[in-house]
Amino acid sequence: MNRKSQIKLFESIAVLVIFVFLLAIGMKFYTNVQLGSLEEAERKFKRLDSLKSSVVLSNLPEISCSKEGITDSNCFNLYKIKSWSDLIKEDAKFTDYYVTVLGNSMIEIQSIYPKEKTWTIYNSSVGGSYDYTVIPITIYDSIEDQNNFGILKIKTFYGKR
Amino acid sequence: MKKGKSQSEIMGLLMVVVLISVGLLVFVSFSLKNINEKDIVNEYTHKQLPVLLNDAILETHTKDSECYGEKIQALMVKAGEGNNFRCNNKYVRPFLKDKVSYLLNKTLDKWGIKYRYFVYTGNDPVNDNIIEIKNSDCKGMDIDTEIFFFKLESGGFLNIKLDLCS
Repeated sequence: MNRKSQIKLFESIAVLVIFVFLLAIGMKFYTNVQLGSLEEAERKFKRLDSLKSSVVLSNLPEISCSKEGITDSNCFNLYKIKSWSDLIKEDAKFTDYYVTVLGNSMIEIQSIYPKEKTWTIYNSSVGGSYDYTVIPITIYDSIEDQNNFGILKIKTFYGKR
Repeated sequence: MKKGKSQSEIMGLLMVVVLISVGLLVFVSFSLKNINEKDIVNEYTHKQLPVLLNDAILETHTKDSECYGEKIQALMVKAGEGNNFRCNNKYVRPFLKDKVSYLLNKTLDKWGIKYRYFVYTGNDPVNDNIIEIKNSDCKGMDIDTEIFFFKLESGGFLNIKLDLCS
């Protein structure tokens, strides 16, 4: 009888061990899935940040084209860009402000035709991995009264300052 | 005694069934979540890109040395009117085809996006076109389309259609 009880006890312990083992595998699987979806969510939010920066930038009155007070959202004024970029580089107060608006990113404007040139207009990069958004734009040269075809490139960095 | 053993076995079976059901439920809910979630960024990019690209191309000025600094949009209208306007040594249609091809090559081709670009005056972009540029036939693909149109002095409309395929 004593031996039979021991076997039963051993059986119960074995069932319990297998159950805990299965539970651990399940937990591990669930944690991995959750981690994966969290990383995916972070990536999505970063891409969204990058897109948000492009929308904010396209509508910044400091650099966008305007005629008689009406802003053209897909057009950047070349000379406004240059002044704005210089101002950010020279004055830390402005840099701090635009970091809150545009985040940790590097923004380039590339003119493709008729003129070919690239300007880095904002650089608050922190290194590490990044997400990339490119948008076709018009770059207006107000001295020559000429529109250039270009692209706006925004690299949004994942790291923190 | 036998009755009690049967009852425990049924309870065990029930627990197994409940565990499997919970597992299946978790799996199905994960799958459904992935289907229902839309990628806002992809949606925005695919809907906005043809609009922004078409707009930027049409607003661009040519070089003075190439076509008197005329805007591409104005040259498109001239091409649609069917006149034999020349940009230096080239007629306006082949000139525009070269320029737009160059711009699409520097953007969509470089980014690996499949597209079809038509400039046409009738109803059919394939048969009535005056300019056609494409890097894919887009057969069996999802297409995001943007059409810009301008009224021609000679009557009718000039349509500029950009299809992005994925």
